[in-house]
Amino acid sequence: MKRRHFLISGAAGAALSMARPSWAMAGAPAYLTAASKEGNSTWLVGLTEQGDVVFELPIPSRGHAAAAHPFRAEAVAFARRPGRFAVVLDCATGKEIARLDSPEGRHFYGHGAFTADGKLLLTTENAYDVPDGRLGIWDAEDGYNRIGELPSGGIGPHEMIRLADGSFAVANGGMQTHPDYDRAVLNIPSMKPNLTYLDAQGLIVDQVEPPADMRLNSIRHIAADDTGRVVIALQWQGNPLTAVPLMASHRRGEALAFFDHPETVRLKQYAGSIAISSDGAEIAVTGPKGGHVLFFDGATGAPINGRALPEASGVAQFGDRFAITLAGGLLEGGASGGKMLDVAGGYSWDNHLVSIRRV
Amino acid sequence: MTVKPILSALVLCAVAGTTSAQSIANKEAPGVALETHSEETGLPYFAPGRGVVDHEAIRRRVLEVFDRQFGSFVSETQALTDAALAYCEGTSDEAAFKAQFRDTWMAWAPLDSYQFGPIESQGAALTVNFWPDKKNFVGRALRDLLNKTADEQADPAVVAGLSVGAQGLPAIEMLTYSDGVEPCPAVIGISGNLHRIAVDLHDGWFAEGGWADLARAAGPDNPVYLDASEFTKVVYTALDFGLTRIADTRLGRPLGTYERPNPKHAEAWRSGLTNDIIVAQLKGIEEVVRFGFAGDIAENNRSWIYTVFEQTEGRVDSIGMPVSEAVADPMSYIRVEGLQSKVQYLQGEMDQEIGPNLGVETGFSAADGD
Repeated sequence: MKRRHFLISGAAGAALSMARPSWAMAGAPAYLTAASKEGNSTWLVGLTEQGDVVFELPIPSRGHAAAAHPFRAEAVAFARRPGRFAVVLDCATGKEIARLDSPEGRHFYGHGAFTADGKLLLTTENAYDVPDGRLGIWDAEDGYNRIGELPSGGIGPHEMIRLADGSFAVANGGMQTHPDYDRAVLNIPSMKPNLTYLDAQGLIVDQVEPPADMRLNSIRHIAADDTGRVVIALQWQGNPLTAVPLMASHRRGEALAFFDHPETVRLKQYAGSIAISSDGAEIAVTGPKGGHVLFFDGATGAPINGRALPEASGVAQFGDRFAITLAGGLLEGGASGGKMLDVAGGYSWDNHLVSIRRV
Repeated sequence: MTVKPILSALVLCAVAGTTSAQSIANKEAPGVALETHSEETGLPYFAPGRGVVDHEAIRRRVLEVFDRQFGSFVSETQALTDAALAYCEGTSDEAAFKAQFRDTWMAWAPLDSYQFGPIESQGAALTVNFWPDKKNFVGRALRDLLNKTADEQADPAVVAGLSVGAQGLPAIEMLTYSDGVEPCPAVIGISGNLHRIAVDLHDGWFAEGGWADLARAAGPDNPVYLDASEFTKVVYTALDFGLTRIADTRLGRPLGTYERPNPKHAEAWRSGLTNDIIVAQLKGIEEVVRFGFAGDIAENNRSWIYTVFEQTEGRVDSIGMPVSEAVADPMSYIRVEGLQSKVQYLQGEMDQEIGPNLGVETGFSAADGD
């Protein structure tokens, strides 16, 4: 299969790349998040660690996650599924650099990742009439032209992240959807989520599936530490009254490990975002539906505690701990407490907070 | 197909069953009787609105409508199974089977709007109605079924084990309305399996511990509905989705573009049931508004939305031929397009007249998730 070679670096384009605005020139935001405001206007917002809004750029409809270029001040704001657009924004000037339209028969899932050299953008996509999951490949050196696609390794690829070594992890949620049916899940009786690893060239090198009793626990959102350990925020699609863990972790070569928490029930069967603290001591899982956050021991996966935080949405690393978007602003801290920073503007945050330093 | 407003109301009332009337205390003037209202439907009540929405009453009434609509799919699939047996045994003719096939699809049509709860958890949307079918999954799955022995073809359990394309209404349609295909005994197995699905869906809603109980138990500890208004919102959103299905999918697919319409992208083009399915889905949505939301919507908004439903159904009639034929001719193409605009108008009017009454506009929030 020739397509795997798409991700192999071609000519050295770094010099050219460096000429474009860097993140410092964009007001040095620490985080990106999609948000909406009164009247359903939709935005991509850049936030500093002090909770200051350094830019808010309008996007055509509701955004989901964003992907930040490794060094240029370029961010890709993805439409929420089943959206068909993504907008590449120059975060220094606020100008739209490119508009990505998903090809015929594909729509975006709302997540994507750049290759380590910043040359290619990969986007999780639904080939909905097949049905199958795909990763679209876009050339960030050539106006974000679409140059091909790769199999994602399963149905319903949702979040994909680049790991510290330049390889990728893809959360294939297992949920089959079709734009004709809006957001309804069409295959619950047969759904099979998996976590797929691709090497830096985009070739699938490993996959892991949950055991039978966790088959309906969709693997949707992921984070990783520098050692390649992946932590997973799960969404339970089975009987809503069944108590199940909503956090799991995985290291290649091992089985998936699931971690329960006495306050899991407060998440309403839906874990939104997940992050590992930079020192590896804590894992935070947000529950936007339940307005609650769970904290786990980063080393053992044992529950530490939980906090009721209204509309707890995105979570990213901040210092040794976390930044969490919630109603009215940003909370910086962890299991032992934190500081609430009000963010003016009346934003309603999307589920994800993208840390620029971590990309 | 045009039903005059009053007649339509009578028909729907008859479906609704008996309603008990009672008088309400007049707080302004004790002892002076106010107009009576039905506890079942909340109708009529004091226009222009009492300012409170009773979400628990809405839930009770909506669940009654759902019980009827899902129950109708159970009885029609039972009748379809009986009709398939009679047809294949030669004790009734093809016309009788086709008539029952039509009634079965009409019973499914309203359920297409409710892609949450049991339909979603049981994966019934594609199993019952695999459409659109761009890659001929139905034809390919049927080939697998027809390669089996006669006994296996007639066995609902065998059909249930096949890919979804062979299990639904489009599979029966392809068997019944294609030349050179022998529908028997495969239609017996498919019908029997559809009946099993219908029973499972009704049980999923209304058996003990089903989705209806989950909705009734709305509250802070409920994993799905934090309060009764959330069920109202889900139902309202489902009706909006049903209208989108009609405008964008049922009409948008065959319409394609003016230069390039797609007659065979019409749902059920083989049997010519496309238009009837649209009317049945509209009537299903109207039934939820009329008997579910009922008196919790102010009188003036309610009567206006019924008028728009009537007008929309009238637009289906005025096409005068199946949608699949109509899109092929420029003159009638415009009429199909007109219907699509009318459905979108109805959707807009629902947003303006009904949503605000219920306090459940379709705006979005952080809690929507993805």
